[in-house]
Amino acid sequence: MSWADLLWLPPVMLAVALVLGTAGRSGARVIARSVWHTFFALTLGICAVGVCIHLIARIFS
Amino acid sequence: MDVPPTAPTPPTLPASTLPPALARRSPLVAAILGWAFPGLGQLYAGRPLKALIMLGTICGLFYWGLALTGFTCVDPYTYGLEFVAHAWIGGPTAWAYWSSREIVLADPMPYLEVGRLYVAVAGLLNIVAICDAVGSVLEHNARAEDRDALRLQMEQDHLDAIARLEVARAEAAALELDVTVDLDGEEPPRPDSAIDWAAREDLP
Repeated sequence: MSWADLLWLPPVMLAVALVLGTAGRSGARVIARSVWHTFFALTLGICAVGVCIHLIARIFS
Repeated sequence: MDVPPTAPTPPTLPASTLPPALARRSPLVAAILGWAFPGLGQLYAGRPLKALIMLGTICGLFYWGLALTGFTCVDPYTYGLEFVAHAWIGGPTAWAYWSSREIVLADPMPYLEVGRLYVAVAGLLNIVAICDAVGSVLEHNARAEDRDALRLQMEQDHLDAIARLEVARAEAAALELDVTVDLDGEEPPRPDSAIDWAAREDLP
């Protein structure tokens, strides 16, 4: 498992952030800010889940 | 034949002084358009920027995933569960299924799993886009209702102003009549003292 194996993830995260950040908002600046916040939250959440899984695997292996 | 007298119609406000009325749009049509092609629902709701973002994102991800699978992943017989997600994008899924009927891959695609994931995620993201299109239409219709209420209020204010003007004219005519009648040796009442303008609450 290398970092290259995770290259499929950023496009999906970007697409999800774009759609979820755009939905329900209007105005270019509001949409841009919302997309950035969504992308940031997704990245943070996925990284946190990754670290948790890594630690659990370390503990029980 | 006598024509019954009709009341003169009060002058209406010229259309240029009123804010333009907004046409209502159908949420059902927005949902169907959004299902048929990502972004069309937002375009119908009058949101071109959102339409462009939805179109580029969802169709881009869909086509990218399709290309990674060699245009073979939209197949309800092989990938039945994923087709439930694909079905949320009507037009591109129909096109992909129709155009990939004859394709038989000689070698397995190296990124088949990633491509399948991309196409399925694109289909699920279009659910959000459809909901957003319906919400945009409902928001537009609420604005149209507010606009109609404002136009109605402005027309009503205009009619009220005309009515008040007519009352003022009638009172002025009555005052002149009193002045004419009371001119037999007595001092005529002064118009300023005859009407207590400060006590009139119905005047603007």
